[in-house]
Amino acid sequence: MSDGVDPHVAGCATCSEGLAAFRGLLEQLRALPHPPERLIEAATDFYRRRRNLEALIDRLAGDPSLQAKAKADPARVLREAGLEPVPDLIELLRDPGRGSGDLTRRIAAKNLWF
Amino acid sequence: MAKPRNLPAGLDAAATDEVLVAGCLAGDERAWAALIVRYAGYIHAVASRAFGLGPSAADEVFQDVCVRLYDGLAGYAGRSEFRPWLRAVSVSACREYLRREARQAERAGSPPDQEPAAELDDLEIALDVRAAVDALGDPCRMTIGLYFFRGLTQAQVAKRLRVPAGTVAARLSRCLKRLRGSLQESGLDPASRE
Repeated sequence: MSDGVDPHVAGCATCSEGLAAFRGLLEQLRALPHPPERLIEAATDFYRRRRNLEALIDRLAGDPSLQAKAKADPARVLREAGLEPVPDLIELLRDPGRGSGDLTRRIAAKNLWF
Repeated sequence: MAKPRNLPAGLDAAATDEVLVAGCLAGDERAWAALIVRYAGYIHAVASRAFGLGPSAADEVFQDVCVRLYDGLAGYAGRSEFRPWLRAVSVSACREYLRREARQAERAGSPPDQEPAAELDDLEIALDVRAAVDALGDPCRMTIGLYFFRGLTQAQVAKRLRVPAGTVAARLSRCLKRLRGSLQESGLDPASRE
């Protein structure tokens, strides 16, 4: 892995080509460093949260008793759906607007997926 | 340092993008995690290397791309190859970020429409190399991954893999030769590129 070049290699066309090829390969291997692990974690959590949230929105759309429960105790409904009861989501469940599409749009607008 | 994340059990490194996309659409969280692990470095590099965004901006674009991927997977659903689609999504997210920044800074004009094609092509090559590393299987995949992708020292790799440091050096040398051979067979040898 050393950058020092042996005098023989420096003067040998075949060796120099081989060395250049390996250097190119090393450059490509280093071109895509792994991003911070917290980003990977966040992206994985996002998928789970998003699916849980969408499932909850679907259930809310077809279940008036769940709608009433969500207005009365949004934090509990969120927890039962596997979601962290953050203030913005609590507020949205208390006032879900006009149907599930509206709720989805408002969640996206507030960037609550992440 | 955070524990490295490997592909989830049951989804080996050779699972195709199409298999992973189908898994995502079926609600398989492991498939999503595998897709993210496979392409996180690329998405981040499109923002940071090709578009020259700073770390926090690249993080923001990365999250935006994840949301776009999720939203777009159903529509994409394997109609074309995944990588060109991912490239287009990533480029679009970078452009939108730059436009938003320009608006907020009330700067005149908008970012150039021309994409940094050469830089993006370089990243595509790096993705080919990474796929070739995955295809080598273990222990090469782990050793090269920890050393080159995670940036660990040889001593750290040795500790992580519970092998002597000399073994890591020998493996790296042997695996890089195998990797080059594999790239040559596929016509992807770095020596043949300009």
